[in-house]
Amino acid sequence: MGLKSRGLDVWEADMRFREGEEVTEDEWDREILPQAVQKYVDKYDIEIDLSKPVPEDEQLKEDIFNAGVDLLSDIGIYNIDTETVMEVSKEEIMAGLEKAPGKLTLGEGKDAVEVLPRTGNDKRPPLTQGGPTGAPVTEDIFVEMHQTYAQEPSVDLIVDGVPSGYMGNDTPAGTAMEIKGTLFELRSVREACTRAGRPNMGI
Amino acid sequence: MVAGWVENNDTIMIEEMPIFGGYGGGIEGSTVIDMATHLISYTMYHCDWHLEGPIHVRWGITTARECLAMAGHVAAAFNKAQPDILLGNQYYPLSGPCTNMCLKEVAAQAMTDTVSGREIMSGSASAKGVLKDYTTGMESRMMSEAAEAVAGLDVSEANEIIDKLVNSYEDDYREADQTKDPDNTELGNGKTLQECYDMSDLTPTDEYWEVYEEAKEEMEELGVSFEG
Repeated sequence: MGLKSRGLDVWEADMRFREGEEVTEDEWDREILPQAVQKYVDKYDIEIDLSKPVPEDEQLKEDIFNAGVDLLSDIGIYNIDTETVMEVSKEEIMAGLEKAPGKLTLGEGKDAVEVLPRTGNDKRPPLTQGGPTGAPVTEDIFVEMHQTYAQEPSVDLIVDGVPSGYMGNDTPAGTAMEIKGTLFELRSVREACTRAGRPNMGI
Repeated sequence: MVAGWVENNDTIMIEEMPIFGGYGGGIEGSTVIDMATHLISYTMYHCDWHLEGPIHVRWGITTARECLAMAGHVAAAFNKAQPDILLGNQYYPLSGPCTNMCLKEVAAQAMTDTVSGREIMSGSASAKGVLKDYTTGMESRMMSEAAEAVAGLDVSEANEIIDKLVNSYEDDYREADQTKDPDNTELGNGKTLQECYDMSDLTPTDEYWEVYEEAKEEMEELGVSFEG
């Protein structure tokens, strides 16, 4: 995959937020967003039957997608740091989707897996990205914890947990020790994959 | 961060965990917000694949009925409107390792993710992902087995199974959430990795295998067909 080039990208968004309409977070959360959401729930008459976690109605699927596009193009994107709103058009939303890759390779060599689109509930199940998913893990067993996932044959990728510390120290965000903690985390997960005989799994 | 990733030509996964019961109100509003948030990832953040995880405002889990419905509807909507978009979902069950309830929770979510056409299942942060060492590879094994069991199944048939499966644990949230007994192998926090595995060779304990097999047998009685 080459370097990406997009009409609306993170740099254009940065500029738009600088010049966007000023809105307080409270106004966005309590007025603008809820009112707009209800407007499009009503427009498409969306009703979800909680006994059916997966929709069986084809029109409902289309309506949920279109309601999301309408909502986003109507109210735009809110930036809580600048407290401004960026406008975005339907064309830009669709262009962003069109630029997304239709497949990915995660991991390397024999341990690589292809992420391919599934067509509805096709017979090929989803990939399993195994791991503690951000849950805290004691530093002393961090490698072993992740090895229990890497050694499972049905696990395709690893999602790691968070080490409780590094060399017994806390690793608060924004401190020098955070860097040590992050490197410990990355090296330990790779070590876990290596011990499981799958050194190049996607992490 | 995103600007640096793009300049470095990295593969970019964007994560969001929409709240059921937040500013979007009920299930319909929360689902539409979830959809719009996915779209932001592709519009502004150069997203290659999107990872969500609808969280219940009261319980802090992804395995509640409403959270499964949010994820299931958004994935199915993408599958119809934009079938090439690559989607993942992350797992935060209420119960911890070595409990029947935890295994049923992750199985229900894996079935929902599979049937709705999702590409990646990511987890599991068992015991809500807040207790230290309360996660193990066995929960991921269950995710894979449950996904394989329903892959290709008729959607209506799968919905009936998931509905019954969620029914079997959703009345226990309060008791399980308040359970602080680590020896409880039915509900609650469950056990740590050190209690679930022989740490000398990293094999699951006989106790966890027993809980695992019993959970599978219970799900088979609900209509799940596991291989082997």
